Amino acid sequence: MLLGSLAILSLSGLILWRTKPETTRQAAWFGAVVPLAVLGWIWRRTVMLDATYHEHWTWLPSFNLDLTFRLDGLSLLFTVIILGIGAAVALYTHYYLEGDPRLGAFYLFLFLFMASMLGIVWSDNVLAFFVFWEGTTFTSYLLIGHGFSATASQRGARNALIVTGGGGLAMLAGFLLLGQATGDWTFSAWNAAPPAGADDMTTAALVLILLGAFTKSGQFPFHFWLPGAMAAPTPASAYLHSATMVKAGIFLVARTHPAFADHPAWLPVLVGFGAVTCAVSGVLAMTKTDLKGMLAYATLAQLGLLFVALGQSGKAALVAAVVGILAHALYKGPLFLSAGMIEHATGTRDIRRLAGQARPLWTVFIIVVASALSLAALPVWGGFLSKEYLLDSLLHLADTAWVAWLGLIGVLIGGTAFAWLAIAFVHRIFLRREPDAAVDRTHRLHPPAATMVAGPMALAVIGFTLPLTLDRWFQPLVQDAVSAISGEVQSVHVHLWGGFNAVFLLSLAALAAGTGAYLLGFRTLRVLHRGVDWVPSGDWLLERSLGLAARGASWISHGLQDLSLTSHISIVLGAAVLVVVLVANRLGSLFNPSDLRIVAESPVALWLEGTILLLSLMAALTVLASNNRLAPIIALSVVGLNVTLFFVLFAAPDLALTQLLVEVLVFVLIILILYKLPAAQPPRLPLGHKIRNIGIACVTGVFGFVLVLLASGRPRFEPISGEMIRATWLDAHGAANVVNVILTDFRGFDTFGEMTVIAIAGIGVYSLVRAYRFRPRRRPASE
Amino acid sequence: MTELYLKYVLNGLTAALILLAFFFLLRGHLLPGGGFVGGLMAAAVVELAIISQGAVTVQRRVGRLLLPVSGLGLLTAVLAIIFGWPQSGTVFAPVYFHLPWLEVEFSTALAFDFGVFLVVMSVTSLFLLDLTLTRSARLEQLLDMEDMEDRSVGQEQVPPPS
Repeated sequence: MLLGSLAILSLSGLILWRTKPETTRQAAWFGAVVPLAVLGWIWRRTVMLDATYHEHWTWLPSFNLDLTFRLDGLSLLFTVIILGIGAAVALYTHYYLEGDPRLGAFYLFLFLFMASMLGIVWSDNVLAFFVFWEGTTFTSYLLIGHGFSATASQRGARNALIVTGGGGLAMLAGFLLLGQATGDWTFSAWNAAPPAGADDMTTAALVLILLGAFTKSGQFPFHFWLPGAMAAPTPASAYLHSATMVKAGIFLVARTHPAFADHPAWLPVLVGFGAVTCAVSGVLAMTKTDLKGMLAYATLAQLGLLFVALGQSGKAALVAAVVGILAHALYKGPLFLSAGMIEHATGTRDIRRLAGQARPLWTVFIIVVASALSLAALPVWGGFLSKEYLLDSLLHLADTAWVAWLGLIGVLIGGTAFAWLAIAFVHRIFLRREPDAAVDRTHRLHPPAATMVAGPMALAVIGFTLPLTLDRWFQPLVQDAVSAISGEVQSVHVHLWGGFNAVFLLSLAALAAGTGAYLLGFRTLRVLHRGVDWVPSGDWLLERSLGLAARGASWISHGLQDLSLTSHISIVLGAAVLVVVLVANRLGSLFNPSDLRIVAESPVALWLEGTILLLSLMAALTVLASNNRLAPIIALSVVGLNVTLFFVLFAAPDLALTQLLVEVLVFVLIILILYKLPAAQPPRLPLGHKIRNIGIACVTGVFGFVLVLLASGRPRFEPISGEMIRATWLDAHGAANVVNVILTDFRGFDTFGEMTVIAIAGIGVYSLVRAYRFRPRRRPASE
Repeated sequence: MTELYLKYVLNGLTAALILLAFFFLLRGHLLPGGGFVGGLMAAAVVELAIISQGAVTVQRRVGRLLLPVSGLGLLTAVLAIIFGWPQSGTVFAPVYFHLPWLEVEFSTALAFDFGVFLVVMSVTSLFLLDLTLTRSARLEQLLDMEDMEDRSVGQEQVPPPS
């Protein structure tokens, strides 16, 4: 069923792509209905089960890679968010990107992303998890770069790809370490039997896995890629960068929580980095003027809060995380989509140029107010509940762990920033009379269409009514999710009011601080702005290392390749000899003088081989003796054909055929090229060059000769051909050509890899030659 | 470089070589041959055409097809690889069919080999063609491209807000 859902979503993406959605309105509804239908299907089939739903498909068992799906409370929570918000975004996208000729492609990437994201939250097998993880990285790259003419979106897409892709590789390394150590390749096995103790291996694996989670969720110091990715079309930002993809890191941490929560590094690292991210991003959010930039930094701060919550193991902290995930998806999604609608309607996203939109954009106003209540953490909405539980848990923790104080400070600064942002959104965009900066009067204000409002409005209404429904409809979801994160069955009832206590006072203090900061005025934030400029960011490091890599690559390639062909070939041959000699030295006993002898099976064979050898020698001497271009090429071809004869002698017809064909093709090709080259005498080389060339040629020749003799002299390993021949006769339905059976059956994977390499080489040659064609005028015409 | 005598034998030779290439491809499982050899043989057809008709003519006739055909080859191989998945539970498991109206057994391994055939043929032909196209031919193609770019300018759409 789960695999079927992924197939349905991918297929819907393909259908939307091919049916030209920019011309039909129905596409938007189709895009919205499919995720909801899939969600309904999964809900009906699994929620009734009252147990974890399993599904198993064998994929590549020899790589420990299987599609093992597992749908527990945590996965279900994310499934609901991914598909629910996905439906709203799909509906919204059609109106946001109206008239864009590449809307179909956008839908395709959106649905592929949705499928990958669902794969992440369903996979129990860690390697399949990684595959889907990189699937989201890749599709998000395509979505961010959607407007691929714009430099900003290219840069944003590239940075996102490098940071999250690199983090994903680190995570894979962590998985491999842990998988090798435990012999298990599923999260459920790791969670059932946590890797005991804090040995180096587990610590290394933990650090690598957390690196993956931190980069994906944009935690400090990787927080720069998310605001850069805001160059994406707003629906993509709303979906990927608030509700789903950046939560993949959160999901990873929640998923591995039972396995690692007892590790001594878990609590300080997660709470520490989460708190720092929360504080830094909160302050940065206040200094931005672009609506999407503000929301992006607020998202990072919220993700920091979630990491702080997941770093702890108490029930209250986990409830805070689950409620926080749910509430954040329900308020940040609508806020992002509103930012898009405001831009669509007024032509600007700069908060300084916006004012008094409450009446003209009254639908958006309602959405923003309903969402801002949760953002500002006003009692009793979702944001407040999450923060209440988190502060409670941190206060209890503060007795034993100093890092809890850091967490408290981070949460309070983040809370202040959230309150500030909520007030700024409601007041500055909608309520105040005059904007700070000049307004573009040429843009005709047009309110968004009702269908565009429908998605965010539905989300905002669900978020607004969350306090009423949380303990009734959502109670099983929250309870199962908390149970799944903690690894043991928990009974959870979220209470809306925790009493008038220290926790509530802290919440109130954050709210008051935010309000006070807002009342003090926007201008005072300039000071802040200057203050945060020195906060170190990975941005410059990334730019610097990219530049360094490019310069290093050009240095190496110039050093090795920007030479004459002679030097180039000398380097290649010399390196080949050197590498093999070094490896042989390490292996030891490769060289055994007694193997250096030529054995002939019979006088006839000796006579035949001797003749062929003589012919080859004569051809080789012709190459050296000739002084025009054509003769050496023909002579070299003769050498190649003699090799073909050797293959025939040693009963290798496949090799002989291939060698013959390659020889003929190359020979004709060189003749064709020679025909076009101007006739020229080969230059007279200085004596030193000649000696060097002769030396390299002799060393390479002797080396090759000795190597072949050694290889044929005495078999050092049990040959695998016998096994292959037996298997061919037994399995492959009367096939007799072992070479071909090996290529297509036994070693199909290798052959497929080689095919891919050949195809890529073809593309490379094609584009290189075409690039040359684009600049014909730079070369002198007489060439 | 176009050779007169080759023009006369070209049609017959081309047909014979293509048949030979398929012959090698099909009998690969039983006797020497297979997709790689067959692909090289098919590339030899392209080379023959280059010698006899010139690279420009060949480029006009099949030049645009070569890169897509290599993709088609990869796609064929992928389909052949995953074809046996639902049945046997693993990819790369060959599936055998008995075609009732023929006394021949067909397998997905052959389809995979056909993918190899397509990739080797198209990429080798691409090498041959791109390396033998003269400067004048390249210029001609460049002019073609500029022509196409001129035509596409009018259809450019206003980028959406983002």
